[in-house]
Amino acid sequence: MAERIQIHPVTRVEGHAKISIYVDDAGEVTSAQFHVTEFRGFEKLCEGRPFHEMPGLMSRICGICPISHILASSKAGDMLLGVEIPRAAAKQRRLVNHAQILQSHALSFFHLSAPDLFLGMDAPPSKRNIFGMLEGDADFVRRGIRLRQFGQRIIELVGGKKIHPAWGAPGGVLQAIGAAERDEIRSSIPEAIESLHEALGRLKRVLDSFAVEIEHLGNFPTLFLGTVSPEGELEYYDGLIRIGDAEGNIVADGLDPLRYASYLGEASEEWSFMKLPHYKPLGYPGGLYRVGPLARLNIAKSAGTPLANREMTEFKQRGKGAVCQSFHYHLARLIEMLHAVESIEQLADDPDLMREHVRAQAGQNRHHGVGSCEAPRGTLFHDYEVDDHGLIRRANLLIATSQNNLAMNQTVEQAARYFVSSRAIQEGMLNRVEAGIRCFDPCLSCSTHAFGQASFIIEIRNAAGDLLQQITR
Amino acid sequence: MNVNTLQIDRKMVTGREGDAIFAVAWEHGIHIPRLCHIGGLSDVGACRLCMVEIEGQKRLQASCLTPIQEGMVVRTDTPRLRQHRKLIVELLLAERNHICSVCVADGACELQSLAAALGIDHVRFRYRFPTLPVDTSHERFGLDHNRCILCTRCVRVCDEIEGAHTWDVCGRGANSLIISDLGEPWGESESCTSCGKCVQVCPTGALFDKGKTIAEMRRDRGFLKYIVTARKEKQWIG
Amino acid sequence: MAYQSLRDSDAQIENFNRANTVNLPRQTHLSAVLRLAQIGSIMGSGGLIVMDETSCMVDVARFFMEFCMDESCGKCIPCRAGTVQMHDILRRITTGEANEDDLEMLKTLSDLLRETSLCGLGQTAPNPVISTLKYFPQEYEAHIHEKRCPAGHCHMTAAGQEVAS
Ligand code: SF4
Ligand code: SF4
Ligand code: SF4
Repeated sequence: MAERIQIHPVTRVEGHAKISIYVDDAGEVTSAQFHVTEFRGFEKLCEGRPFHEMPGLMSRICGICPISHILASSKAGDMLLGVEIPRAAAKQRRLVNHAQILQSHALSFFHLSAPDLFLGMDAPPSKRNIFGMLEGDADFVRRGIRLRQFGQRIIELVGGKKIHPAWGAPGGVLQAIGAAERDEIRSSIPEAIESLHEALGRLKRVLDSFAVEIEHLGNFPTLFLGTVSPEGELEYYDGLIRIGDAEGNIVADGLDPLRYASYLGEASEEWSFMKLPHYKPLGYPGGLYRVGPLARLNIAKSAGTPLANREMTEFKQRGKGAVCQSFHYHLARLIEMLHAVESIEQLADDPDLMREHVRAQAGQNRHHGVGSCEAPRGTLFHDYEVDDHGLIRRANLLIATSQNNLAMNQTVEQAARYFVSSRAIQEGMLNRVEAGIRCFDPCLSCSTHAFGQASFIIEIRNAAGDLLQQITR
Repeated sequence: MNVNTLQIDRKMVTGREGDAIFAVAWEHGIHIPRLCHIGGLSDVGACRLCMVEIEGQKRLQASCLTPIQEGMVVRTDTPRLRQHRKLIVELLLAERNHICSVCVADGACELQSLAAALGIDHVRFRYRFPTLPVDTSHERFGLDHNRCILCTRCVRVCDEIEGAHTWDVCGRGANSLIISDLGEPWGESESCTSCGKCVQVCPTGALFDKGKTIAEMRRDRGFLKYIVTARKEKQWIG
Repeated sequence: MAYQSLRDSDAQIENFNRANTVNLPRQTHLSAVLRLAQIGSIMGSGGLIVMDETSCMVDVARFFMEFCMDESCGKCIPCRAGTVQMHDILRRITTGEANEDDLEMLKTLSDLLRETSLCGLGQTAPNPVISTLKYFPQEYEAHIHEKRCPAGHCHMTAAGQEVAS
């Protein structure tokens, strides 16, 4: 009898999700889907509100990466004002964005993924978590926690608050940075770099034991999308969009984020609340692309900072052309963290950072503004249309996790086909399917603008759609 | 000038004859809560937060409108009064859309700080969630009806101090709304001089400087004392 | 004569308090009604409403609260916002969606409006609630606990049924 296996709720991801695995009469997996079952509708909520409120309002979408929303929203606001923001403000925003990448990646790597990576996919679930890690190697875990704290501390020092700082605004930021804050940031850099070297070393040492997972968890050709600097280096705050293919060729370059709608389409399917973005010239679902750490490392030619550069050169050798194995999101994440720490150091030494003038004043000069930046999980777009008096008429958010939606679906299907047989379902099989999702570190709250606690369901269904087995955690 | 002596919260205090209990209490460090009162403007006794118990009187009295009397015994902070005040603030929070975390006045709002002072950590009423407009037609200021508590400070300051009388209240009951002139968008008001006084006296995030983002709105009310004493005493002190 | 009828009305009032009903004999003198203040009512504009057991007392209270809510001028908060919330609670009692806490809140709000409203409208707005609660508590309880309207007037909604189960 054909069946469907559901994994619901998916654990150790941010948000609420369900995986359905369809099996045929022979017990072979025929297809699998990754559903997002929450819905929030932030875009609707913004209508009629002044655009100046958006950075603060939008940052409430998410408790993990509020900074990215503040940045994209403030940048859309800058555009509505039609101003170039003061240098100090731009540097502050860059600094905080790197801090955000650091803390978010640290959470993903050390708290959520390290148990799989260092305890093994088949370790008992009761041990396969951060507490199990603590028993084994407390020092390493503590380093991870401190890395995350470092990122959060920077956000707190610059923004005044750890989670939802009132800091970014259209035209710049709210307050200047002091010398004491800058010095505190500087003082933590050596330890952070040391921790990242250790983590990189450890991850690279265990990678060989995951050859099967690397091969079968989301290993397929797609396009890769991200922001690059004018020099083609890693860029997170302000740049143009580049799209590369699996062979490592540049498919499109110098795309203006403002015109994202002209090259990115958004399809929707009834089985998920998440939008399904794709590269328009190749259509849906052919225009499948990935964003985030893996994509950024694939499209950029180099990192732009020495330590990360070295790692990146080595990283690029893992693929023929681009690195297509989603498992390498983990490695990419660590390299990005290294780059973030190096960039933080550069910014802390930059005299512009301390300037007093942090906000450009202007009235509203445009009716349409788009802001984009690289969030930890990928490229983020905020798109606002406002009326003559600055009230939002239409808002559209294109979120990193939803851009990875199609790829996550393929990953789930690929993983299910390889690892799952409905004959004898073992916990470790399903954990691998989940781990496939965790490569992307999806943040489902943002991408559906939904709320709820992290939970994950896997269900197994037959071809008729009858539920045969359900695993909830 | 006659002076009356009375007791407020077991403290013997004196005040000028004709002064309101509220003013005398504040002068003596007894801070009776209020939202519609603001020093320098006339009092309307609308918010009912300043109500006090007076010995020998069955009814509670709004202290901003009740003159002191010789030998009066006043209580400003009894369990009954606290319960009433809590309810009134909860009623206000449920009446419109107060989501402090995304409000321009977050951290500098009289409604918010009063709620905190009264220990309100949740609202026992059903939120009404009315759909109300935001008027940002004025070049420099905005009015968000979602955060207005209808205290009429703006109405009074514009009428009594600026002399423009741009603001008024239209409708009644829960449908009351602050309007400029005869209901035109503020930006089209002919009477408004754009002085900004209303924005400075508003207790909540309802009136704000345009362009302010979340938690950025801060107010300066020094002008009230300055203008009022200048007018009354012909003295220009801040 | 006048003295006599006043004595009669005292007896009526006692009777009322005991039985929660007033059995006014034919041709009762209006002076009996004039002592309505003692049973918590007022004469108002001189109108008198006659009801029987098919009138739901909760719905009657809701009706009067709706009137006060609509007529509130909106100047003071207890009356402007309090009548709205009292009306909402009364409405939810009539649809079976209310619980014991709502009943408590109804009483608490009654005190608030009576004691703190700026004018007579708000001060007396809770009166129909206070007196129906006093004389017909079992009607409130039937709505809240049994999701049933003794007068057969109120229609319990699905939401109300859910609360009950
Ligand atoms: S006006 Fe005051 S109470 Fe209302 S949302 Fe703003 S800060 Fe909160
Ligand atoms: S800005 Fe001045 S004149 Fe205009 S409405 Fe406010 S107080 Fe009145
Ligand atoms: S706009 Fe402000 S000052 Fe005017 S009535 Fe509303 S809350 Fe009071």
